[in-house]
Amino acid sequence: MKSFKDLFTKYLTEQPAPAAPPKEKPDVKPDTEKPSTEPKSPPRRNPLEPRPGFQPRPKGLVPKGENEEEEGVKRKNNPDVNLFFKYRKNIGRA
Amino acid sequence: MKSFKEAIETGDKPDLIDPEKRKQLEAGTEEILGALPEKAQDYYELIVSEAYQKLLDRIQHYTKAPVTQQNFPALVANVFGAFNKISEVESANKAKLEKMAVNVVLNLPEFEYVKKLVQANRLKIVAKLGTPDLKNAVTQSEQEAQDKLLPDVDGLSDLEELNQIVAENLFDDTETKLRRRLANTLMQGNAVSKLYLFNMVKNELDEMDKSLIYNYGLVTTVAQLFYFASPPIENFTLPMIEAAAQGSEEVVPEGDVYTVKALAKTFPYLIHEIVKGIYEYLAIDPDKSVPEAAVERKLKKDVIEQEVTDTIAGPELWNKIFELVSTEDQKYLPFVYQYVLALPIEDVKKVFKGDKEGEKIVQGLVLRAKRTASEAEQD
Repeated sequence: MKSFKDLFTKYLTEQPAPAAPPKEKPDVKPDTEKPSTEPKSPPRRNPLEPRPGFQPRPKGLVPKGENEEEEGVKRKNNPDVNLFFKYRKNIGRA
Repeated sequence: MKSFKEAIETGDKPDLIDPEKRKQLEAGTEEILGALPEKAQDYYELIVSEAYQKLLDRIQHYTKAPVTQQNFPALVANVFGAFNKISEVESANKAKLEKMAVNVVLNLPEFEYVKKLVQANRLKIVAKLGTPDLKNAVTQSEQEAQDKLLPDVDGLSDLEELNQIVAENLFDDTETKLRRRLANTLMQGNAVSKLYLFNMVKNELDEMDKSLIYNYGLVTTVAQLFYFASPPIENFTLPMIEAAAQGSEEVVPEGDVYTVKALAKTFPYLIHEIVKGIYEYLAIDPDKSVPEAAVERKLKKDVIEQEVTDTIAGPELWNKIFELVSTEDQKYLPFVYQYVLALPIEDVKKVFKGDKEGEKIVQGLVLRAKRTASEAEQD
């Protein structure tokens, strides 16, 4: 992994201009709408709704460690430190 | 300094609290203390004491006999028998119960606006009686291991990587963590308080089997008591958790909408998981001014062990807010919950204190919720 300093230096030196903030997520909408020269105004969402694309970790109620000595249960999936990143990469395909 | 008197009071009830669990709860190390009023540890012990005593009253309500040191082992044995009977009845009524669980929740006044989201296909709820799915959950030890690892940023652009590092440095502060703890404690507390909603469909349950209400009451209350009576478990592993869990919820983004996926072994826990999932959904992004990278970062900090203490302290903390919202304004609770999560921490403490000032803050939040809901409906 690059250091913060490396990245920041690279960012400052390689960016051609102080461009508009790049979009983090690809816009998969067809080109039938007006060109996005204006600031993007997302569709009006219900105020209770989260912005799209976040994924909290699952939760489960564990009343007691019954069966706690149970062994040999194979982990189906090793939680990955990069789950978030993998997830982000999949957003555009969703 | 502690006196001879225990900090967590059991009142006239038997003390079934595991000594190690008691030490843990009285150690003053719970992160949520940072959001509680002055003398936070005393306040915490008071609400835990209230929760414990109310729980034992609730067990007595279902069993018609007070819990004692002597009858507790028999009570636990009865729970296993109750689970077997429940399983038998539920397997014959699975689809009906799954549908009922969703309806029981969405028909509560508290979920009026959530129901509108569901009806508008902005939120999906998938509720199944079955084995909990926690394969993507993370334990404390795994989280600690992850924290030591530098993230592999394969596939990210330099800018994304930079954003991530900035987010980690700027937003992963104590207050962000505290707000997430607050969100989790309240969502768990609210969901625990909904464990007993099965009583709202008593007639339908009686038609399936007359013993269901009693058995549901027994397993839910005694299972709650396990949280107090069992020692703290160190070194949780996911196989252990998956074997012991009664239910799970996961909120999954699908395009620009979300799906709450609730799984539970029994009907009361299915209701619980649906409520928890809905409040999880509400807690994802309560303050839209927070940068997305910080939201993502915040969500990566949850570990499953925290649910144990959230389950103990959460219900009474949730009640502190619930009691400040009038019956006719219950439908605004999801909004109020989101607003509380974005309040300055000093105001959160006032809300939990529950005095005039706290009441005024919550009333202000209810008014704001009414305006917001009204505007949203006009769109």
